[in-house]
Parts: sequence; structure tokens; C-alpha cells
Amino acid sequence: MKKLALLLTLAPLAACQDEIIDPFTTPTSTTTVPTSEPTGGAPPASGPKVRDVYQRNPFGGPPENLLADGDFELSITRQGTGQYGWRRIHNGQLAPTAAETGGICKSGLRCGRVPSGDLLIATGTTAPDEAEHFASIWLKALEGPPDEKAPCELADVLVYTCGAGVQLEKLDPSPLPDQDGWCQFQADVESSKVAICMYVDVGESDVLVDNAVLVPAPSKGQSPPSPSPKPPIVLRPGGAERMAAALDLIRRTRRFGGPVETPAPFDRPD
Amino acid sequence: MRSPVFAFGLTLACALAAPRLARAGEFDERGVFLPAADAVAFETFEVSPVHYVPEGTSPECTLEHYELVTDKDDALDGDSYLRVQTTQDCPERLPLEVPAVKGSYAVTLWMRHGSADARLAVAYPPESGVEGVVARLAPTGRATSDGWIELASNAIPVDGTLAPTLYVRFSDFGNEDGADLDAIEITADGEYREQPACSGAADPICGDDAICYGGQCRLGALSVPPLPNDAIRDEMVDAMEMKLKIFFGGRKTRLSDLPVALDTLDTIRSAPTAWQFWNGFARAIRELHDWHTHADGPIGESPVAGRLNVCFIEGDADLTHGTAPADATYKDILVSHVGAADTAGLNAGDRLVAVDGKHPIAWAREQITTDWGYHVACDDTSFADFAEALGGPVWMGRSTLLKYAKTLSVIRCDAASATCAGEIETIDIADLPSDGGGEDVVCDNRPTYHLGDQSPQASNHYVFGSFFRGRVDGTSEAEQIHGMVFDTLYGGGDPNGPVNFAIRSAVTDWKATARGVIIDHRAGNGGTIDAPEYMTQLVRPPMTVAAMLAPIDVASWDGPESAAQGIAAFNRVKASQGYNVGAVDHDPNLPVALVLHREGSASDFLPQGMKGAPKVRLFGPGPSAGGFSTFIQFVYWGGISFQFASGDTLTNEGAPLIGHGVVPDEIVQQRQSDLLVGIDTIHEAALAWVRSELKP
Repeated sequence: MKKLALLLTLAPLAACQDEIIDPFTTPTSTTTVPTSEPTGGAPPASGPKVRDVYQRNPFGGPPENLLADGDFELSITRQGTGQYGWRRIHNGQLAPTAAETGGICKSGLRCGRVPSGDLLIATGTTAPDEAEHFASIWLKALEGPPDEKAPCELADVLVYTCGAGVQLEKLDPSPLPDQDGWCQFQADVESSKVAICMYVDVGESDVLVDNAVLVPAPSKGQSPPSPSPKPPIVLRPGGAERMAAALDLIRRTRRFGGPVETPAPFDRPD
Repeated sequence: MRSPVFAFGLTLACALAAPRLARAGEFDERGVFLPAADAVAFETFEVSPVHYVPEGTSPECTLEHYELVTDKDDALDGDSYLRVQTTQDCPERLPLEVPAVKGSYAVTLWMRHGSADARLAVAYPPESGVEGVVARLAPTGRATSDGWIELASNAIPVDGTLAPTLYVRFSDFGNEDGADLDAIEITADGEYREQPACSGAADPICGDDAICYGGQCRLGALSVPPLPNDAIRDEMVDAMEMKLKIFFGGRKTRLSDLPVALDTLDTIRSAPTAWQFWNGFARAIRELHDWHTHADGPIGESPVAGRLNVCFIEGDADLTHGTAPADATYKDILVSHVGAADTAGLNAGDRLVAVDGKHPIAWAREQITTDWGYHVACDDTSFADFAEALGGPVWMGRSTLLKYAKTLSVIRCDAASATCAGEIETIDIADLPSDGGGEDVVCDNRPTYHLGDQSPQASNHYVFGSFFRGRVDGTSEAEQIHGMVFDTLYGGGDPNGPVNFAIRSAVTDWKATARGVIIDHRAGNGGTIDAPEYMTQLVRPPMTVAAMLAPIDVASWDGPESAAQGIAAFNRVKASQGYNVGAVDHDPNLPVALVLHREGSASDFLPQGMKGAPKVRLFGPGPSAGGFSTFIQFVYWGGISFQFASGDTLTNEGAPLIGHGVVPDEIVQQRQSDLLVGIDTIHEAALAWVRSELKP
């Protein structure tokens, strides 16, 4: 029964296989469809095209994402202390995640806008039936990349076990940005019996972050026993300490209860 | 300087004659925005707009929070757009004109960068006596390659004959440089609708697309985003559905409640109106039947007529069963305590027999159809949350009675004679005045306090995040029976933070000086796991009693199907996610009574961790909420947000706990006869036990 549900879940991805060589390397988060024809009666257009218009799912996607809000659609708020799908840590404290909109983003209607040195943590879980995973996220430097020889070295991106903080994989950036300046970070991730989360340690450039996915990779089945120990994951200087502190903050403040704030009479001006 | 606002009077007249669905503007082939041909008003920001400041606005909010930016290629239309940068408490207000007739209008606007709280508001002159209305804006899904996204409202009724001020209220956030705003467009949308006074949630006068809330019909569409169009609706429902399937709940709630919610969610794919779509979504969330799980929306911010400054609790109406027999399923509902004014003449010990002719709990559960403040325990046999929410301040999200009830059936009692009326009296909610006076009393399931001058204020019951500690009333110096009243367990991971410091200090002091302790946690709001762990260090040796697989460990996992599976999962995560109770230096001889009534989450963990310790006894009327999980939050647009529980807790014997509240060692009901004469039945039972077990 569970396997049937999983197959049904993956059907939309499978349907893309005619067009995409490896559906798990370029997941499409949301449908982008052209809008209807221009309003009648308008003066005829002249001059160069200034923009495209399209329709996007405000809830983001893909639906089968094992990250609770990989597409950054439902984590943008004034207050940063909630247990949202994405949580930003700034100077050791939880902080709201800033956003960009529309076509500035990779997918959906919103994406994260994250300053240099900040950390992001995405709540996730692991695939059923101990399947392997594919993980991916897109980053874009807001200004020119700090290292022109390695323009996509914008962050350390890892997946790890949410509870114990065991680092599973570091996602590799593409060598070069795509035509819109976006760099994809990706990795195959082994199966896990416990929940998996994603961690982003932003480097020296402010970045846009979007379209993070962690999806089961059923074609690869269960992981065979690892023949040899994996090489250690190497982070930027201080990265291990930053990650340990961030995960400790998340663990210590995990909420088991209602609102923290003392309520106050609200006024409703308009 | 006023910017151009193009009013299409003739078009409007046609629209009023033949109402039609609003249709916003489109883009030409170059991608330049063109307003709808029949737009009633269109703000293109070619010059700086009017800055509307309502009367009574604080001085710091009277400043303009915008600048005009001229960039023809960047503007959606024309040559310029507005960059808005507000503070949270100082939204920008941009007035627009509509004709001086009764009409109904929708607004669309385009924004870029960050996020925004955008509303269309109608304010009437005070002398009109007409209450203003507000519609929220949310994305339609249309977006442009250069970052603009479209927000839209549903139709809002406007009586233009009363000289209203109609304005867009815009408050940006999520980008330190502010948000861009352009192309505000008002279009006629349907016919003017009155929102008459009403009585009771089911009052048919409001129609299918409105609810009766607080004595006034409220158009549902004003509080929800637009109906998603066909191109994205299924995608949106798929996204909601899969989030629930992957992440929601623990074993009990996934097996029993998730299927119900998914069925409801499926129905909204064909919802014909925005209200039916979004209320259907919120209903599905409510049907998950979980203490941590709810959908929030602006409809709960609507004003409520009247005031009922009264608190109710579950109990045993031992004086009035001759007049109204006990219900087979639900406990009796009694008045616990009241405020100084606006009490409908009710007093502690009076009985609430029925609401709209039904048992109050049965009635409250029926509000699942429309009550966005619906709050339910995970444990199917725990109803204390419903009882508590019947009364109390509206500003705390409570007072279900004022919001949704038509009539109350009560039995009044007389404290002096300790007798009750032999008949049931009916009170019409619409007749309840709001004279004011006295503080709004909070419902904390404590009829009285017992810590002398260290007690919380009896006039308001504002316990909230505070700790109250002292010697228990009526006990002797020699007995050294100490007590504490508190509702929060939000330690926040800081051993020296206010909550953990209060608990650790109390534990240290009690070990040193007390011969007995009564811990009163009757409105337990939960918090973080460290706080209950510290409390258990008073009473038991160290052990890992449970492990929290929360958020959910494996996607779509329904939890362990056997004890062996559960133990395996417990062992897998106990090192990093264990609930570690006790301390080597606990006091095995100190009797500790834990007094309970309504508690959830970390406040479930507290009794779970205390129960079974050698000198601990739990007193209360029934199980705790069984909310043994954490939760994930999601914030959408238009004031819509939701959160749901994720994960479960497994005992060291492999049993999943969610949905199974902690059952007190001693089940005690608050008796009506005691309430009438000021006796706190549950406290007295706890005190009697502690006295019988005093530490030598």
C-alpha cells in the first residue's frame, strides 16, 4: 500500500522523463504557464519586450518534497522565531528570512534573500522504505561572485540527520551558473532511518536561495552497504563550529506547546 | 499632489446594471500592463499619491513611507512606480475613489521584493454609524520575469452614498529596502451586500458565503485569499495534501484523523467560491484533531458584540442533576469564576446546561465547520480545551459563546443558601450588554488560588508566563507544604532563563525546606522539553522515559505497528532526542501532588515524566491533551497561516503517545456544591493526600 502511494506520488516526476534526461537532477518545482491573451482594446504594442508574464503556484513545490517548505513560499514572515520550513540564523540567533519575488526567484512566487555569513536550516524528513534520496538547491549571487574562478562556490550546503546532526552529504555546486546566474547544488544522499534536514552556510556573497528539494530516488533502491568509509566532509574554516551551534540552537528551542508570547488585547484599526 | 485616478463612470454604471465577475488588467505583447477596460479606478503612480492618515493615527505614523521611482523599463505601466518602506505599526494608506453609489469592488495590485500585508479597507464617517470593512489581498499566481507578483482581494461591499474612504493599506516586510508597488486597479465585482446583524453561527440570514460571527454577518471572502484559478488550483491542493501526508502527526492522528482531513481537502478542488475553498482547507486542518494543529485567518480578528466575562470548567453538577441530568458522554459545565462586570449575572457554581439546546461541549465541537479558532485535544476523550474556550477574553482567541452561540441555558445557584434554581433559564447572547468595567478575566481552570499573598490576582487570573510560589493556604508552619502556580514550560534551552531558573530554584528550595509540594499546572500551555525535565529532577532518579521522533522521522510513517518496532525506534533516537527525566539527587521522600486540568505538549510531558515516581500523585478530572509532538508552521499571504503537528513520542516500552493523554492517578471532578461555597475540589484532594504523606 505504501509503495503504491509512493509510486503515485512520483508519477508527475516520471511523466517528465521524455523531456529531461535525469528527472532528479533538474526537478521542476512549480508549473509556469503563460497567462491569457492581452486585454482587447489596448493600443498596439511597440518597442522591445520588457517582461514575460506567467502563472505560478503560490504554495510552491514539488508536492513530494521531503523538505517542508523547500520552495520558500511559506516561511516568509515578520517574526523569525517560528518553526517554519526554513529558519534563518543570524549572529547566532533566529531571524526572519528576507525574500525576493516572482521571476527574480528560481521557482514559485518567493525565494530567500540571505546575507553573507548567515545560516539556513530546512526542516525535512527521510524517504520511506529506506530509499536513497536526491538533494538539490539553487543559489544565486546577488552581486558578482567573490571568486570568479569558482563562481558557484557560494555556500556550504549539507544534508544531515535532523536529530543527531550527523553530516550525510555535502552538495556539490555546478561549475558555472546557468544563463540566469543560478547555481545548482546537488548530491545523491544515502538512505536513512531518521529524518534528514538541509543546512546552508552562506559564504562571502549575499545570495538568493530557492527551489530546494529532497526527494526519494526509488530507482536506486535501498543503499548497498558502503564498501569503504566515505571521505570526510570538508567545510569552510569555522564551518563545523557554526553548524554545531546552529543545530544546538534549533534543538534547544524546539517547541512543544502553544504561543510563547503573553497575549495582549488587540486593536483592529483596519 | 494627487496622481491620476481614472474613474470610468459610464462603465461603472453598466457594471452595476449587469453585475459580472471582476477581471483584472492584462499585459500587452511587450509585457506592459494594461488596466481592464472597465476598471473603476487605476492608480499608476505617475505622480506621488495621496497619503491618507486616519484620525487618531499616532504621530510617528503620519509620515509618508514611500518614494516615487521613475524608471520606464521597470514600471509595470507608465514611467514610475512606488517604493514603500513601512514599519510594522505604521502601514501606508493609499486612497482610491469609487462612485457615490452602493457597489461591490475587488482590488488588484502588483508588488515586488519582500512580502506584504495588503488590504482593501472601507472606512465610513463616524456619524454614519456603519462599521468599516476590510478585505485581504493574496497572490493570484500571476508573476513577471522582473519580479512583480499580483495580489488581489475578493469583492468588498462599499456604500458609496455614505462618503466612505476606500483605501489600500499596505505594510511591507521581508526586504530591508522595502517593496515596490504599482498598478492598483479597482474593478466592479458583483452586487452590494449588506452584512446584517445575526444571532448564532447557523443564522440563515447570513447566506452560504458568510458566517455569523459575534452577532454580525461576516462575508467569508473578505477574510480569505481569492479562489485559485483553474491553472494552479489542483497544484495548490496537491501541495497541501502532500505536506499533510508526508509530515503530519503521529500514529493515532495519522490513522484516525488524517484520512478524514484528506477527504475534506479533496472536496475543495471543485469549490465554487473563495470562502468554500479556503474554509474547506481550514476545516481539513481542524479535522486533523490535534492540539498543535490549526489554521488561522483574519476572520478571527472581527469585532464581537457584547461581553461575557465568565469562565467555565468541566465538573460534576451534583446540586442540579435533578433539574438537568448529566450527559452520557460529556461532563457537566460549571462557572468556575467570573470578572467584576458583564457576567450575565452568573457566578461561580452556576451551571451551563446547554448552548443552542445542546450540551456545551457537543455544541463547541460542531463549530468545526466555521470556527477558525477551533482547538481540540489529540486525545479523543479530553474536552477540557473546549470548556476553557467557551468563555474568557476575545483578545485571547477565546469566548466561543460570544462568537457563535445564540442562546445559553443555565441554572443559577445561590451561594448563601447553597441551593440552585429548580428550572433552566435561557439567556439570549444578543441581549448581553457590554457595559465595561473590571478586568477581562482569563480562564485557567482554577476557581481559586491557595498561595496567600503570593497568589496570582484573583480579579483577572493573569498567570501567563509567570511563576507564583509560596506556602499553601491553611497549612501550618510545621507542615511546610509549598505550592507553585504556573502555566508555561517554555525554558527555551536556557538553564538560567526565567522559566528554567524558576523551576530549578523551586526544586532546590523544596528539597531543602518542604515536607510536601502541590504543583498547580491547570492551564498547561507547554513550551520546551527542558522545563519538564528540570521539574522531574525533584522526584525521581535519572532515566530516559521516552524519545521524541518529532518532526516526523520518516515521511508518511504511521508509527510503530508493534512494541518491538517502537522499541527499535526508541533506541535509534534516544541518545539525541530522549526525554530524560530525574536526577541522582532527587528527593524520594517528598510527596509531590501535580494538579492538572487542561494541558498539552510539554505540559503533557510534565505529567508523563512525573507519573510513577515513588512519591508523586497526579490529580485532575481527566487525561491531558496527548499532544506529544512538535509542529511545523507555515505562513501564507492575506493573514492566512497554519501549523500542524509532526511526529510522535515513543515510550521506552515502544508505545506511541500522541493522542493518549496522561491519566491522573486520582480522577477528581470539581463539584458544583464545592464551587458554590468557594471550595476548590481538586486542590483539596491534592492537599489531603500531601498531608497524609508528609516528609518526615
